[in-house]
Amino acid sequence: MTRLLALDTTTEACSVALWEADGLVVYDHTLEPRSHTRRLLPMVESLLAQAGWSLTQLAGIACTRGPGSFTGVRVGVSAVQGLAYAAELPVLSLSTLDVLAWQGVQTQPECRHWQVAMDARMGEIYCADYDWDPATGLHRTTPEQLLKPDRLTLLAGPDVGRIGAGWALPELAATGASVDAALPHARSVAAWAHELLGRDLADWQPPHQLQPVYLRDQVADRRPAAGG
Amino acid sequence: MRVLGIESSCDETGVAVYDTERGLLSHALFSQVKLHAEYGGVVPELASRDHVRRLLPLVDQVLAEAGLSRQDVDGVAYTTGPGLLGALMVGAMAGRSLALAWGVPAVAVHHMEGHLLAPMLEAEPPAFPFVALLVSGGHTQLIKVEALGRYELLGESLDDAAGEAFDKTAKLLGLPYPGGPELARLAEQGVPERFVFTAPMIDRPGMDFSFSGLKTAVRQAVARLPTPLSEQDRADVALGFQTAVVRALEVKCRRALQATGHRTLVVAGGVSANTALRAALDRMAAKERGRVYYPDLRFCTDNGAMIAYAGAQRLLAGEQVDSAVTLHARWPLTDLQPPGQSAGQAA
Repeated sequence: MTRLLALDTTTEACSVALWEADGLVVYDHTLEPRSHTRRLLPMVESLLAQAGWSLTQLAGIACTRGPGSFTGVRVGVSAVQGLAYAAELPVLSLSTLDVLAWQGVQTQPECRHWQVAMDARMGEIYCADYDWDPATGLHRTTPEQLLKPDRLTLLAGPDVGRIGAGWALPELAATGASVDAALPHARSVAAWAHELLGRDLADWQPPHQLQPVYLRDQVADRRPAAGG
Repeated sequence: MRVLGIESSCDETGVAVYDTERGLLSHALFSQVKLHAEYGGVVPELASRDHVRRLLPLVDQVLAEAGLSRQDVDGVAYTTGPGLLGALMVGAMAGRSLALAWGVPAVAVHHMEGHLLAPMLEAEPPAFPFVALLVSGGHTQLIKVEALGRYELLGESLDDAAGEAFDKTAKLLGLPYPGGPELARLAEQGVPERFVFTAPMIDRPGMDFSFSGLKTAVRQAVARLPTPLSEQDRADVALGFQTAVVRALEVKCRRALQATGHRTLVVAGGVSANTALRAALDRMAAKERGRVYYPDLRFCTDNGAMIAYAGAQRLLAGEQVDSAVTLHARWPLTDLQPPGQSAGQAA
């Protein structure tokens, strides 16, 4: 029986889910800004208590490793590192963009092509494109990227789904495309982990290998080390 | 009780295990100094990113060196402030999560209380009550310490911290970041009294400090020298600067001992490693029939051992925090309470 703890803290939302082989068991989330450090672990504790599970009964912990808010990503990654290390559990490190694409597939399975765009702040988006086929599964067809919205190539066609808060940015909203400006959540993290496990694609890792993926790596200006 | 301590408030990832019966079992530190050197100062985002990379391997290392398995930890202590929020968050979230999964108590530690108690890790620890001089790149404070958590501020810097003044003066002299320790080494080659800078605020009553005026005086003196500065000029200026800082610290420490009637002075923080400062304070304390206690040189700068120790004292007294992690960029030491009288966190 595969029991999973799943969590996501990569955006302004913060959510936790417990998942068993046949589906979601319990779920909680909050949208309160800057509350992730205060809310995440009490949510984990309370859901485990509700389900009557202990961490040691889990097959592992799944979480989004980014992209997303730098701080948000680190809240989740640091927590999962600690939980998994202490409980001696393996970790499933998932792309936030992949999780959002799977979130879209769950709501609109008829869409065979997906464009995911998250709000990366500073007028940019984190994005990736996907193909979806019930037989072969969901596959990313581009690298995960940090882009100015006007650099995004819009896919055309009736079977294109678009998901993510990046689509609410003015430049993309102006395209008039039909979109779901959803934030990622832990239910989808668990569901995507479950999908990967079912297709034998789950790449379990030891907790120290769980590391954030930021995509935006230019975060400081180099200056002369001395003088001036 | 074996306590895992985690420090990540700035640019050092420190982890240690302290046993309340056997003392410090192991400690490990990863310093990010090289990472930040090319930026001329700590870049908070890069610091946070590095803490996430370093933390678990360091936990693994200290448990292995202590000969412990993961189940042998009885409590977890982690720094929750003051410091860089993003950096604090990494150690605090990981630390609190470890405690949750192990089912052991956790305690939130004030970074400066960690520094203040670092001399307690020594074979001959000081006893309460005492006067503490906390002197680092971020703080210059004189504290009256009656007991764990009973702190009264006697004086502090009105502008730059002493360590900050060391770093800024080092930069002025063209020394690579972080220049404070380098400046102290350079001062050893200096000719005494070629440059005499007034020790700031010693002619005024009270126990406050000010170091920004001294920095300006040094800049003016340097501007009058031929460029590029010769090695001897730089050494002489460095010595003049250091002498003035040490004098100011010495005078205010003596006043603090006299004002409180305490005989014990505890000096902690990065600048407490400074040899000239130690010599001057030892001389002063001898005249006052007192004694000065310093941390081991390894525990003057940020480290996990002091956090493990401070956390262990509070855990022993029954203090613990729930799993909601609260962090404090600013957090006056005097807001702390003795164990049991607060949740270990600022209001």
